[in-house]
This record gives sequence, structure tokens and C-alpha cells, in this order.
Amino acid sequence: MSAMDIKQLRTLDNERSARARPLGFGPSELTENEVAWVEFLRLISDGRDLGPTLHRVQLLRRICWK
Amino acid sequence: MSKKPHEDTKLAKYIERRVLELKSRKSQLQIANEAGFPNPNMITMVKNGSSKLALDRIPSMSRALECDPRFLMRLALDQAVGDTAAAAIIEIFGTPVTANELGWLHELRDASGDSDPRMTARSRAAVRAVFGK
Repeated sequence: MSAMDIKQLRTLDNERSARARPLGFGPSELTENEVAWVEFLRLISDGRDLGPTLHRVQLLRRICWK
Repeated sequence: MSKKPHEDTKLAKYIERRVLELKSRKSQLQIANEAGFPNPNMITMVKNGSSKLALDRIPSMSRALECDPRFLMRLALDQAVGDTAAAAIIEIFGTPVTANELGWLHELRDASGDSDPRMTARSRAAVRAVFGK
């Protein structure tokens, strides 16, 4: 790979980074809003990795999308 | 200097809680064996914060504790290099998103009809209610 190619790749990468949501947050397919949801979940889950049980999901749906 | 320098870390607290949760099915000795620790006291040392959990033990330890290795890695990284350095590493390489977190996002997409809902004050209150906070 030539120096020119590397320079072009770096430029592309920088452009992509500039458009991206918070640097380095998880899978690239997450949106900014989803990142905010995950960050809030982490904040309130008290050092645990809590999964979406049926009861919790039903409660969330009832409160958020009634 | 404290003999338990890592006692207040999230990892030490998590492992203590997880060992307790597994107690009815698995002894601490079994957990140590499954995680590949030659010294069974190592689990106690990590639990009480007198020793760090080595990063190369995360895969086997997460299997032994039956938890998400990405979650354990996040906690272990904080413990291994400190909050600030861990934040820098995550800023560059990305945070490990656990299967449970992806599960929540899947439910969120499903419930909102893929409308990419914003995290509003109302939704924060809803999540707090779901988690009893």
C-alpha cells in the first residue's frame, strides 16, 4: 500500500469519526439515542448486568408507550 | 497502605454478589477450578479486594460465574488501570456492550416501532420505575 493510499484511508477514517456519535461506544450500528439509553441503564443498574425480563419489558412498554 | 487495595471496586463487589447468587449450585472451590485458578483462595482474594482480577482470566472467570464476559471486562478494566485510563481505552476502542444491553435495545426498538426514541425525563422516570429506583 502506498503512502498516498494510507493518507487517503486516514482522511476517510477521520471524516467518518467526525460524523460519528460518542467516540468508541459499542457496536457502530447504535444510534446516539440508543447510546443514551444504554448509558442510563448502566447508571441505574447498580453495578449489575440486568437483562430484559418479560415483567420489566411489559412495565417499560406500559409506562413509555401507553 | 491498605491490605485490600481493591476492596471498593465494582468488580470486587460484583464477584462477591455473583458467588453468593451461585452458592446453591456451585461452590467457591468449583468456581476457582472452572476459572483455572491453581489457588482456590484466589476467589476470596478477588472478592475481598486484596487482589486484582487479571485481565487474561476474564474469559474463564466469566464462564465460571456464568456472566457476560464484556460486562466483567468492563469492570476489570476499571480495576486494572483505574477509571481515567479505562475511560481513555474505551474512548478509543469502544465500550463492550453486553448481550443484556443489546437485549434492552432490541426491546426498545420493538416497543417504539423503530422510531429511535430519545432519552427524555419521562423515559428516565420509566426506567427508574422498572428497576425500582
